[in-house]
Amino acid sequence: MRMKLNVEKDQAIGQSLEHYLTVGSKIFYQTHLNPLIKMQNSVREIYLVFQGKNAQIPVLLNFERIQTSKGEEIHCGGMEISKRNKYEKELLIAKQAAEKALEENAELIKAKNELVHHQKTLEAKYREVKSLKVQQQEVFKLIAHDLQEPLRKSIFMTSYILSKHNDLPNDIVESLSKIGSYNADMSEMLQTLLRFKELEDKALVIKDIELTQLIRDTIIELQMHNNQDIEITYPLKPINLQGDETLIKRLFKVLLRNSQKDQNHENDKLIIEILANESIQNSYVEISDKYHYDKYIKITYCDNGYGFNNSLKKIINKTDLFNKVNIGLAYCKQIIEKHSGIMEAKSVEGKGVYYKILIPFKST
Amino acid sequence: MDIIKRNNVTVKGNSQKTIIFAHGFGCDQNMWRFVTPAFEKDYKIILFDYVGCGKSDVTAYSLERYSALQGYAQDVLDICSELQLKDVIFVGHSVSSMIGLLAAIEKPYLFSSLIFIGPSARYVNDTDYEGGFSREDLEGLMDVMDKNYLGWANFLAPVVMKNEDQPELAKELEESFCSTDPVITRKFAEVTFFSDNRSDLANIDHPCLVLQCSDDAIAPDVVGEYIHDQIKSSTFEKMKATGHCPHLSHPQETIDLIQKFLNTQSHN
Repeated sequence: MRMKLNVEKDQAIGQSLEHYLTVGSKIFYQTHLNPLIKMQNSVREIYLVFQGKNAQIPVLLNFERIQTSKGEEIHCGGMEISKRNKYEKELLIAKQAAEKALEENAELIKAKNELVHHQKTLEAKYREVKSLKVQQQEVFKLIAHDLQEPLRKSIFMTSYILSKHNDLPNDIVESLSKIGSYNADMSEMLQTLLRFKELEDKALVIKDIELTQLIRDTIIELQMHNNQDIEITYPLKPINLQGDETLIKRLFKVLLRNSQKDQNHENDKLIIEILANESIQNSYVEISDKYHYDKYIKITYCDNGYGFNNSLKKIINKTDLFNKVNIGLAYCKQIIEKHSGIMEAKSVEGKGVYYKILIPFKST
Repeated sequence: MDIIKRNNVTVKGNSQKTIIFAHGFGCDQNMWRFVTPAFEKDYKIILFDYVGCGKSDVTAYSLERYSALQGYAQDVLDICSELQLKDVIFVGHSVSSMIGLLAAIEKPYLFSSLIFIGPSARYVNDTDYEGGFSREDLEGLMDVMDKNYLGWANFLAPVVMKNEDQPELAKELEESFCSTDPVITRKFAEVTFFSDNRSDLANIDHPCLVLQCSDDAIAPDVVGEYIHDQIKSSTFEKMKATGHCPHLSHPQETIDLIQKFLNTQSHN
C-alpha cells in the first residue's frame, strides 16, 4: 500500500489518514465519517479512495474509537477493493439506469394526471374569465363615453354659472369651485381607469433596460432630483433586466408622485428608498407544491409618508387623493403582472409605504 | 402539512430568545448534541432535520422544491411560521449558513442575527474566485456518496420486510445517526456543492458571525474571509479548531465564541 501511495514509512507516521485521500473522499471524511466516529464510536464498511502514485486506490475500511490509558485512539482496518469496485460500478450504473426509467415513468403518469386535472380547471376558469371580460368591456365602454359626457357638461355648467353671475355670495362661489374641482378629479380618475383597461390588451415592447438609469431619468423628469426637501436613494451599480421601458418608467412615476402627494409634513424631509437586486425565486405563485426556480430582479420601494392605509378619518379628509393613489397603484400592479412579475404592498399608518416588486430577469 | 413532524422539529427550553440550530450536509440535528446544552438555560432551542435528512418525513421530499437552496430555506421559514418565531438567532453549519442567509433575505424581520460555522458562498473555483474545488473533485465526491451505504438498510428494509406492524424488527437494524436516503443525499450534495450565493452576500444587513476553522478542507480560510469581506455587518473569528465540524470536535471553543458574539449583540 505504501508503495502505491509512494510514501516512506517514516513519512507516513504521524500523518493523518485524510491527507492521503482524494478530494471527494476528503469531503466525505469531513461531512460523514468523522462525525459518525465521534458520535457512534464505531463505523463499518466505509468506502474511500486513496490518491495513489499512478492511480486511485479504492478501499473498504472499518473504524473503531477506543479509550486507552494514553487517551483516545482510532483504530482502522480494511482492504483494497479495486476489482470489486469495478464490478460494483457497473452494477450501480445499471441500477441508476433502471431507477431513472422507473422514476421517469412514474413522473410521466403523475404529470399526465395532473395535466388532465389542470385542463379541466383551466377550461372552467377560461369560461368564467371570458364571460367576465365581456361584461367588463361593456362597463368600461359605459365609463368611457356615457360617464365622461355628463361630467364634461357638469364641469362646463359650473364654470358657466361662475362666469355669468358676478354677484353670487362668496360661500356659493366657493362651493361651486369645489364642485368643479371634484368633477375634474373624477374625470382624471376615469382617464386612469381607461389607461388601466387599455393595458390589458396592450402588447409589451420588450427590450433590455438598465434600471438604475431609468430610475435616475424618472427622478429628473419629475424634477425631484435637486429638491432639498426630498432625499431619494437608489442603487448605484447598473442593474439590467428585460421589460417595457415606457411602462416601467410610468410605474416609477406613479410611485414617486404618490410619495410626494402623500408626504407626511411632520417629517423634515420626504425620504424615499429604492433597493434592487437579483434574487432566485419560485416562479409558481398560485399553484402550491410546484417549484421552479428562476432569476428575478427584486425591487423594494419605501418612503416615510402617511402610507396609503390611513385611518378612516384621514381617508375622508382627503378622499380625492386617496382614490387617485389607489387607482394608480392598481395600474402599477397591472404593469408588473403584465411582465409576469409580482407586486406586494404593505403600509403602516404614519410610517409610509413599502412595496416589494419582483420582475423576471428574462422576459418570456 | 404537519411541519413539526415533517422536519422532525425538537424544541428545548422556553426562554423568550430563540436559537435555531441548522445542520449541514451529512448527518442531522444530532450534530449539535455537544453544543446545545450550554444554551438551554437562557434560550429556547429549536433543532430540526431538513426534509430528506435524519428522521424527517422523506415522503415530503420534492425533487423540484429541493433543487435549489431556496427550497431548504423554505423549510427554515416554514418552521419559523409554524412556531410563530421572531427575532430568531440562526446558527447554521456549513451549507446551512447560506440557507440561513437566503431565509433572512426573504423574511428579514424574522431574524435578529446569523451565525455561520464553516460557511462557503461557492465551492467550485471560478475565474478570480477560489472556492477550493474543481468539478472533477466533486465528481469524486459523488462516487464516494454512491458507494457508501450508511443506513441504507433503514430505508430499504421497511419495503422489503413489510413489517410496518412489527416495529421491533426495524429496531434491530443498525442505528445510524447519519442514516440517509441515498438518492436524496446525492441530490443534496449536488445542490450544496454546485451552489453559488456570492451575489446574495451583499443583500444582508443583519449582524453575522463567521466562525472559520483552521485547516478546513471544505471551507478554507480564503472562502470564510471572502464572506466576511462581502457582508459589511459581519464579525470574523478564526478558530483553533481544525476540520469542518468544530461543534463536534471542539464544542467548548464553539460555545464560547457564539456566546461572546451573542453577548456583544445584547449590549448593542
